[in-house]
Amino acid sequence: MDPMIDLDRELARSTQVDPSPDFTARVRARIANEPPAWQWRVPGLAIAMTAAIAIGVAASNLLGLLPASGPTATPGVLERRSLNVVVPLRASVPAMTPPDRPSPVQRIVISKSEMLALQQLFAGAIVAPPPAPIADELSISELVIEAIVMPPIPGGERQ
Amino acid sequence: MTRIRAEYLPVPVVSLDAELEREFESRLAECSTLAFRVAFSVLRHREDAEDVAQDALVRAHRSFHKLRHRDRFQAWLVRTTWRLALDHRRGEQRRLVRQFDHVCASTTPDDTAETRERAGHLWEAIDALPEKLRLALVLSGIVGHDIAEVARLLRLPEGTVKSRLFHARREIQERLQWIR
Repeated sequence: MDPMIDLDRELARSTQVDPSPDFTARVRARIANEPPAWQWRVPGLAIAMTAAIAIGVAASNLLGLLPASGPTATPGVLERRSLNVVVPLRASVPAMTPPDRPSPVQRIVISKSEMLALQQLFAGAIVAPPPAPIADELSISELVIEAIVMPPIPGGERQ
Repeated sequence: MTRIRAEYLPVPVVSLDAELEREFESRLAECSTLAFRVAFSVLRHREDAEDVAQDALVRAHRSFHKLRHRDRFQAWLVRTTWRLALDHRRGEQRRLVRQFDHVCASTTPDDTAETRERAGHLWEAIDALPEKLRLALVLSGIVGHDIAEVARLLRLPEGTVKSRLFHARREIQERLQWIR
């Protein structure tokens, strides 16, 4: 038998099937039990609002935390210090500062030898060595260029 | 301020929701069988097809107020039902049972074993078609080979539908000859 005739007959037979008689009634009953259309929008709105709030909170946390953790987040950059930090070095000798009360000025702890050297430097005790005398005139010896003498070619003359 | 009583108005006053419900009810009456047949052509299991068609119609009711072009309702319903049926078929675990059922569902008790076997081969060939060819072929069977109606349901030009039907039939013919 021709398969195309089979195809048409089978298609017609298996696509012309009707649902059970109470099918439409069951659909109506299920639709009647469904909440109204506007209630389907409420979860969507609630989800969207919750997501927006969560994003907002996350963004504000990020923006609020980043400046606070900025200096520690950049370990390669040294903290900038003004000269005022160096000046109270005289007062920052361990014996002169009370141990239990921290100084309001930021302290730099250095060794005694370094401190003495710095104190001498600021007091002018260390003087840079005088510059070396500069020669008044540069003496340049006279340049002599000797003539080039070619030795005779052994083996006769050219013809 | 003058109040106009409803009974004096030239047209009856109905709410928008009531109008929508009435329109959907008329659509439901004319399209429920179509949705079932589309689902049945994929699943070939009566109860499963009714469940899927019911889901599609409930979804249609849910989204009916958002549908701008009401004349496209049938096309939308066909596509939704087709997708839901394919999803259902992929997800279900009763494939072997259904393969047996689809032969029984489309044959009558008077059919011989040979007829049932031929129907089984046919549906295997139809199932192996690419999706767009299969949908066009099945819809043409549902609407009685009316090309214009298939084109309307698929929202395609008639020439495209004819081409798809031609390729679908050719592929089925090749497959059935190979089986024999």
